[in-house]
Amino acid sequence: MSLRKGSHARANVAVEFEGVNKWFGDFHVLKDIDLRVRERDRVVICGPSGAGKSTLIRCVNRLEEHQEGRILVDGKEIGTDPKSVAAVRREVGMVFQQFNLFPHLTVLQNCMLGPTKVRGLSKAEARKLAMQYLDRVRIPDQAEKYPGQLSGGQQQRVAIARSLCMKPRVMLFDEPTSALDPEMIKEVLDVMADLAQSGMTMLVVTHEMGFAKSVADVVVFMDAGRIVESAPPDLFFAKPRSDRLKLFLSRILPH
Amino acid sequence: MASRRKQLQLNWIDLAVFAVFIAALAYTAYRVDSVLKYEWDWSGIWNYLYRWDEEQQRWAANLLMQGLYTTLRLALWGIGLAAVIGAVFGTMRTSRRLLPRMLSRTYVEFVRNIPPLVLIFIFYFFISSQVLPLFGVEEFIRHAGPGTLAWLQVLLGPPNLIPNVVSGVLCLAMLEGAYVTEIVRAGIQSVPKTQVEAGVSVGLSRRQLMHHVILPQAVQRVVPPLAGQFITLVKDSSIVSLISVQELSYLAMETAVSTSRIFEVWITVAALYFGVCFSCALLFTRLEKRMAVRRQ
Amino acid sequence: MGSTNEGVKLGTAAMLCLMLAAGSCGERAGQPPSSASVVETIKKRGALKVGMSTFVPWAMRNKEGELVGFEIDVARRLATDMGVAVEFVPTAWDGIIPALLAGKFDVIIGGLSITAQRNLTVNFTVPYAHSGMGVAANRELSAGMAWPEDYNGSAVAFTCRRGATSCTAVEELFPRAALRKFDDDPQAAQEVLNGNAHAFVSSYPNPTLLAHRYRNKLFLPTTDSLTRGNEAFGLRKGDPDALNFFSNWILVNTSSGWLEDRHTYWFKTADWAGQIDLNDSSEQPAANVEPRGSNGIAPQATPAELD
Repeated sequence: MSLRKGSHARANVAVEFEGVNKWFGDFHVLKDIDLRVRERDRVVICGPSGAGKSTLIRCVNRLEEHQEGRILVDGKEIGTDPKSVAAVRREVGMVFQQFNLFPHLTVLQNCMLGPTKVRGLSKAEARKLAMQYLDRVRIPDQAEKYPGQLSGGQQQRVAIARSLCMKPRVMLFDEPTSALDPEMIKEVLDVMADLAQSGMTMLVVTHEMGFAKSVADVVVFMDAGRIVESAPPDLFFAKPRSDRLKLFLSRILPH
Repeated sequence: MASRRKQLQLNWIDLAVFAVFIAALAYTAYRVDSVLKYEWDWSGIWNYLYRWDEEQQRWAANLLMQGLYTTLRLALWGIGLAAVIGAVFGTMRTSRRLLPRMLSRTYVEFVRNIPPLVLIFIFYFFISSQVLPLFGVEEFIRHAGPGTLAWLQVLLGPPNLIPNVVSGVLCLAMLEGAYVTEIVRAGIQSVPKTQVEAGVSVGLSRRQLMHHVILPQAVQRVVPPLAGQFITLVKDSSIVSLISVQELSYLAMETAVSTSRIFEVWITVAALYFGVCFSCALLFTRLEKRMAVRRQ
Repeated sequence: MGSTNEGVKLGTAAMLCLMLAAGSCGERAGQPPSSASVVETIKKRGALKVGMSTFVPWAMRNKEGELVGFEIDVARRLATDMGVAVEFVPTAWDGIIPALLAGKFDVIIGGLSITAQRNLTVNFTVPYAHSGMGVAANRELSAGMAWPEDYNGSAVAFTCRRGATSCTAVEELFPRAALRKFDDDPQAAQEVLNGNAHAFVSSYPNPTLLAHRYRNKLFLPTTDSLTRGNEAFGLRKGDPDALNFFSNWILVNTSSGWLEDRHTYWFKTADWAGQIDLNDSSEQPAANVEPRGSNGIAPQATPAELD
């Protein structure tokens, strides 16, 4: 583990938060966030609901705007001008809790929309690419169906494929399994584990501690808008330092 | 919970309600017959739907059916034009810029807060009277070749009445356009914000997002209420009889005055309106179900 | 037929008239009348556009759905004399003057009576017809009532077509009686047939035709004409050429007796009744439904002593 960490030290920084603060009106939702995610890092963010986890990763592709501090993706700061925002969004894939597939398009069309319209690929190229990723998330046979005809787990895998078709440098997962029936959680987590294996840089907000233990390089614990603790999973789970994390783990982990 | 299966048998309460209803109907019929000193005579009414053309040896549409065709033409063109108006103003209504929002809102509020009758009068005499000569509609028809006229006949009815029908279409489209604007606005706003997030997350620009994600979904939501609006339009089109557009209500009035068979004519006309609107309603319900099955 | 219009519709119409007239006159102000005359427009177009409204027997729909009637004959003859085709523009009565001013047609040949108020907005030719108003009354309701004095009571109700001269006539002659106005004549007549009003006032030949058709329920309390109207063509203002042309056409056809001849056919006979499918056309008196001198129509049970 430490060996791998060592090799990562020299790697490029993919996402960096520097003193980020954000308010929703009077509510201080993110407080002095400093976080550095290196290329090929798998970061799992956990914490009680309302801690600001989702807001944190939604700031990365500017679905939320922060008021103070800097967020850099690939060394470039996210500005306010639409062009730089669009540039960042092209490089960052996002998977939502509610899948958010386009219901009027088939699975294949969902995956082809970005590559053809944003990357400028031809229909044939985009189709090939889409089939490749649908194959990878193990549902190539559903390509011609509409999202409404698929199960939740299948839809979430399509959503992952749709993001991957843009060949992003970073993937964000916002509680990707929270809306799923228990028997479907595993198929999505398996796809995510595969993706991690392939070296994708990932920021994952999840309550799946098993996933965190087996896949994450770093686990971050957030509470009340602050990053309270971050550590490699073995330390994180075996030797939590703060009382708040101890309490959180005692509630969430099976005894 | 009780069984979800639909009941197919009537219980005694239903029968009682039914009996009361029949009794009320019978009493009304009795009262009408005794109070209304009116000699019913249905014999010649059918002639005003279709008549036998001696010269051409065929059945030809007479006043009431001609009126019905005009009403349908008015409704079809009216809803088409209203859909265009609604699409433009409805999109403007959801714009992030103030001016388009204001313009669209002004139009909608004008139409919604002035009685249609008054609005039609004003629009007809001030706007459509100026607009039609401007486009030279009448001149065009007078100088059109027989081929063009044949097409126009199908699309807009008898050539000498086309300016008349066009005025009617413009008035109706202007009225209905405001309601379609609201339907389109609701359609666009009903597309969840998460779809926008998903769209921008794959890197779509604002325009691409509108074109590929929001509008297609809005259209799907807009079609059913638009179909309903079409039925409303068929009924509302009777208002343009006020500006002498030769549609069903206007010709019914002429027929009633000419024949003195006022009730027979109006009951026939009511049946025609009902027939058209109810069949449209059934058709749309069926189409909607089919669409729903396709996308599940 | 109609005369003083009342109510909101006319108010709106009058306002529109004035505004439109002002606009169109302004445009024409400097031009010589001859080139701007509607007569020239008609000749150039090759068609005379006539504004009219359905009213028995001025203009009606026959069984084939075509227009027939007194003024249809007049307009056809006029167009033939001008060497042009005729196009009828059926127009709702309330909007017929605004429609003329808005240029929807060239001339109103629609049984339009000359009134000073209307003359402020449109020009009239000399009259081409003289209509009269008649009364038909409900047999039961009006039994024993003397004409005209008993009809001028607060318990008496008349009906008429909204906006028509008949309404004005009742208001002037029977100020104490109630007056109910309806959108068209059949509705107004129906009210009397239903026994909800005593008498129905309308232009001849309506009262006579109705009293004949429903002779068990209606009778004619009088055969005198309540009024004598002057119907003329209506034209837009500022066009002396057209006024001259149409007035002289009427003079010529009055002298020749043609207008009188047609008027008699449509108003004093029921020969045409079969054309519009009146049910009892065969029972209709072949001629002479004109009130004056046709005592046969007055019911035997007429309670009133005719003046």
